[in-house]
Amino acid sequence: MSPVQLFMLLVPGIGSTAVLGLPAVTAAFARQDAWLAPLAALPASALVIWVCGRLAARFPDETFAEYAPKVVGWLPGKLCGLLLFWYFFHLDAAISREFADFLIATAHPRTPMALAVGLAAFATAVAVRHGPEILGRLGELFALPAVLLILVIVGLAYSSVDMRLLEPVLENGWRPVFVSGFLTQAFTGQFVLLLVLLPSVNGLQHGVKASYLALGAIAAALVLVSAVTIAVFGPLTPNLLWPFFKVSRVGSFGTVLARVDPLVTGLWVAGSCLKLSLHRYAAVVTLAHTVGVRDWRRLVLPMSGLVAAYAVGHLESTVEHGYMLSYFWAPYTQLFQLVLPAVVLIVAVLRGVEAKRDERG
Amino acid sequence: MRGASHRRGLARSVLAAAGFVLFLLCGGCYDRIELNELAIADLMAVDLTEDGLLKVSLQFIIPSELTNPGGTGAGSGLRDPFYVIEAVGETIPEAFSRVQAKLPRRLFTSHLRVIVIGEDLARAGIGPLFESLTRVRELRISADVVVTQGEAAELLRAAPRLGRLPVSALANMLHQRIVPVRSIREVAIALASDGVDPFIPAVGLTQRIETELEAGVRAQEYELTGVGIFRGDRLVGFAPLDVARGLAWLVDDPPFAVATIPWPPEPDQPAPPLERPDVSPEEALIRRDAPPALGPARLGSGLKEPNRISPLVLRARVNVQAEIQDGRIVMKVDARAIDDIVTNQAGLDLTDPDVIPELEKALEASVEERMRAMLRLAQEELEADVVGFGAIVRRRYPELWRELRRDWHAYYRDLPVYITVDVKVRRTGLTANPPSYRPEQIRK
Repeated sequence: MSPVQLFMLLVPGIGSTAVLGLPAVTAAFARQDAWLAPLAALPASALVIWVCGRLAARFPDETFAEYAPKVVGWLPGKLCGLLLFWYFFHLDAAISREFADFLIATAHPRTPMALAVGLAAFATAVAVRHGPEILGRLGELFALPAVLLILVIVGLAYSSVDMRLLEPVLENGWRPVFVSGFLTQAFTGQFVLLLVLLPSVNGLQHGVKASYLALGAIAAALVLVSAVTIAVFGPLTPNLLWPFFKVSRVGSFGTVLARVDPLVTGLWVAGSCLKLSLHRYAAVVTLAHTVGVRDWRRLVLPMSGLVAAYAVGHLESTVEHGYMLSYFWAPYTQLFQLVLPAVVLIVAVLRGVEAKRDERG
Repeated sequence: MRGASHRRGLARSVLAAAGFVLFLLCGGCYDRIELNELAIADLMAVDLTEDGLLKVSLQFIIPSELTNPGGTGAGSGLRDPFYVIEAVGETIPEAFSRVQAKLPRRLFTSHLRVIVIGEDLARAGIGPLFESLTRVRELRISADVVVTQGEAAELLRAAPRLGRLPVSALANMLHQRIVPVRSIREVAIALASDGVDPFIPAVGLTQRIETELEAGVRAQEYELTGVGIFRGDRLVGFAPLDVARGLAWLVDDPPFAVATIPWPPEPDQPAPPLERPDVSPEEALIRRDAPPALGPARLGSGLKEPNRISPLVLRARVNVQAEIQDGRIVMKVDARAIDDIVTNQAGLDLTDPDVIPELEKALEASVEERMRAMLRLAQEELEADVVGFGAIVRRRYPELWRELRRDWHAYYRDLPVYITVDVKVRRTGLTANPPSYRPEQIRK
């Protein structure tokens, strides 16, 4: 996978679900200042990339689960691998859940969730079995239309935009913005994927640089989307479940082009599937390297079944899902996105562990 | 060997392609929506019944009648391409389900373009209604909202002549930019915002003149009657159309309309006595030879107000800002407009560049008076902050707003509003001086 492909994989692979749902979550705390939240999340997210990059520099050809035992010892290392696997698994299930929730709420109210989740799990399993190269290709295919669609929606909504709804800026000070930034970090911190992806990228330095650029692109997209959403819906934003979807329903270009929301549903399906495949791949590879399965491909199908089952079963309703995202998810994910790799990196630095010269080849 | 594996590869790809096509066919197996299984509602009226329930009237499109060109096909001549069904319920979805019990097809509300709110319901409070309107999945949040004086369902009796569907006539009329249009979204924002009271355009019915062919056919059209003013979620009064135009200025959505002024702006001498043209034919014959009256005051003196000038607003921009003067909040309204003169029956000399500033001053005064009339109604009579002065104060002075918001309406009542208007007359229609007037009839 080339750095360009990594960039085009990460942008929709991390940004897609955040675009649709995040403004509501951040606006619940920061109100009209929610568009600042992605900026507040930037430093911590950049730190995640930096940590992943430093670890990859020490072990350029290995994934986290392979080198963790070398760094912190066999048993703790395997535990670290399992923890990271659990993170990817749980996140994958959460994405499945969110994917199905949106689809059911907006387009297919009577479709059983198991069917929506199951079909997505199967389709992504097929993609994952072909490995990171294919995922990179999918990213290339999908990134540009996704960005274009966002710009089209913003353009169409232009006549409904009232910039005055963004004022007063910082009405309640910086605190709510930072709280929202912390919630955003749960999304932008998903760059921890790099622990698994970087070994597949040609040219480590360029890969890390592409990741920083991807973070910048995602943050820019989130700022734009949040600002437009708030400028269209103002005080309604925190109470809309998928506010940007509603923005797409508001906009029109005369009678020629209006109601582009089916396209948004399409964007959502494609984006979610890309994100699902990425995290499935990360989960499967991490588990395989932790328990020592030689061919990770064999794990893909059973793992997809498990993810689908967990996705359907682990939450009762959208209410629980929303509550989890607002109050539990951000601190919980930081354990895996930031704390876990940072601890391993610190230990590696202190003990001076890195791959042997000849291994680095 | 190679041939066999090649053939097997081919078979596999054919199988994969077939499977792909089959998957495509599966699309929408669940939750499929077929057009001919739907009852498409395009216009909804909501009223409050006497026992406090919601009465929902839905107008449905009949697609087959739409494609029949009206009046030509046998039996299609007098049949409207729409019909109305209503039901009563405690909530909107409840009423929908009762409507469904009267429908042979599945109720489909995604194409609702206008929602009409009856006066009783509006006076009782629209908050709960907008809860449903924003939550229900099928409804589009961009649908327009109007209120009626009296029952909303009455509006569904209209069969406007222009356009096959009443809802297009209604929606297109709303979008002529006479008073600001309000969508579900905009009203919901006003309801949820600090320091803004909502307003919703008011629509009524009017008769059209029956032609010979139409005799006996009910002949009703929609008419924009003004704006319903809310305080909180309750309707507190209506602004008639003239006053509502002042509101359009204040919320920076100026009407593309005329606002006629007298000339001279303040007539210092009493109007000349009317010289009624009600003369006998014989007298008229004699008078024909009399010399024509000279001077502008004589022209059209049979009209009630002959000395009028009508501008047409071409472009306008209004900026409302809050400021603190002498420790007290004042609102500053700054309006700029570019006008065309579409009637100069007062006979003012429009070729004289020195006249234009005077004319502009008079036009400015008239625009200001329009806004003042609206403010008098909103501030003194109804105490409803429909312009959103509170929200403007909140944006500019967030700390001050925190103290004011509790008693905002009391404060708002006496809030001083300074209005400056800058009108530029850039053109004078297709003529310079009144072409039908003699030179000595032009007012210098």
